[in-house]
Amino acid sequence: MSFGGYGATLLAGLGVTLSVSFLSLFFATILGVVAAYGSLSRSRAARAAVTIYMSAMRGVPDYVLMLVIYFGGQLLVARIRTFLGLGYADVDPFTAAVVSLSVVFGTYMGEAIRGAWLAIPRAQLDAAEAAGIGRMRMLRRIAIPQLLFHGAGAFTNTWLVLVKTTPIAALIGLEDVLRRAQAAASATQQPLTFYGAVSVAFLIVTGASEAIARRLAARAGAHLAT
Amino acid sequence: MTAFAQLYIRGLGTTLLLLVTSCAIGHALAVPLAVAAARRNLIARAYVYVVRGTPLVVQLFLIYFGLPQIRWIRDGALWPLFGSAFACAVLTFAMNTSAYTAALLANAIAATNPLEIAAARAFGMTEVQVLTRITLPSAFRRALPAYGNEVVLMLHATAIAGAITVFDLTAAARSVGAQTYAVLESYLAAAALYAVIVATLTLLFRAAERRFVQYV
Repeated sequence: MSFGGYGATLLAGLGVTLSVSFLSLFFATILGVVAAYGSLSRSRAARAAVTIYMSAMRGVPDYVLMLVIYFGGQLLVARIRTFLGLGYADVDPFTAAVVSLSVVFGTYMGEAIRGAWLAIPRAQLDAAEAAGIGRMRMLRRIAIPQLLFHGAGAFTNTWLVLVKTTPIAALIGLEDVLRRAQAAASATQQPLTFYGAVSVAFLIVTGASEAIARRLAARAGAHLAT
Repeated sequence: MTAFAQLYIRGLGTTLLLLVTSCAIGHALAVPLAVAAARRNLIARAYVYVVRGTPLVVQLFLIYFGLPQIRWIRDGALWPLFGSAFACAVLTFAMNTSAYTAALLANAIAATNPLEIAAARAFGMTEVQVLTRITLPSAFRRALPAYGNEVVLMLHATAIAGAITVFDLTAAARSVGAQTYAVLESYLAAAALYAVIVATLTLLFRAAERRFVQYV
């Protein structure tokens, strides 16, 4: 596992990649909850806003969005800091990657959560209301456990796509596993070895994710009669 | 101004060419792959698993930068192919979409009504006839909405071709941005053009669904 002395830097790069993926997953889930809430809401404006958000994300490639946020973010931050009388500061590739991946995968999460919500039998929610169970308690005891169960498949798929999209951040200069592999490949003249190693690393990450998701899904579904 | 418009048009043309050739080759590969995967062929399943389990940009680098490291490829008859960035991009995207398309086609094949197949067999059709007359036509129809989605994702994917020096729409925007210093605006213009392509593709696939999916 030494890869001509590049093993440690590659592993550190994988850490950077996975940090971006996990942070993006977290924010994408929050955005997804908001989007699902909006798309299921009675307000026309909220539904329209979600539709615009989703079609914009479908219309623009994730890499182009990343570039727009990276370069647009520079301008925005520069303007805000000038306005506040602060000095110049960069938007680093890490932030740009997390923001763009969160925004892109927020739409996937929105679809996943919306689908999971619609899979909960309406009668249960009506029964909870009729029984005078409070809204928060209904969410916590009845809705959320089933959301987790019904949404698990789509959530896992979104995570898998998200992880495999993250290395495009190397193209805006993030020192992730791919960029470090690039440096190692050009220094040693062995691109096949290093890109092969990166491929295997991703196969391990996606394979492990699927295995963990299967075990969690089996546990989550254990008490649910389907 | 017109010089910049020309760059965008050139980039747009390359992007569309990338998309059409990759999807054509990828789809042609996907049909036999899907049939093999649906029959639990190990090699087809391993191919689909490995291609779907690794990032596209890594596959692109592996093929464009990695393959020349192998001596017999560099000295071989196919070197003109592997030496060209555009051909490597098409090869990578075609492989990638073939695995995803095979997976969704295999799902559609698995969802075939077994009674239709039983009826076709009772009619005396051979295995090949059952496949080409019964299984595949209905599987294509069932897979059409998912396939439309895959083509849009493929368009998104082509945006990284610039990383291996292919002058696509995103690379055109980069070039315009470098010349004008209006970096954000030049990428926004490319984003708008991508959105127009996506809207057109969506309309085309919706029309195709109206035409074909009604018989499922």
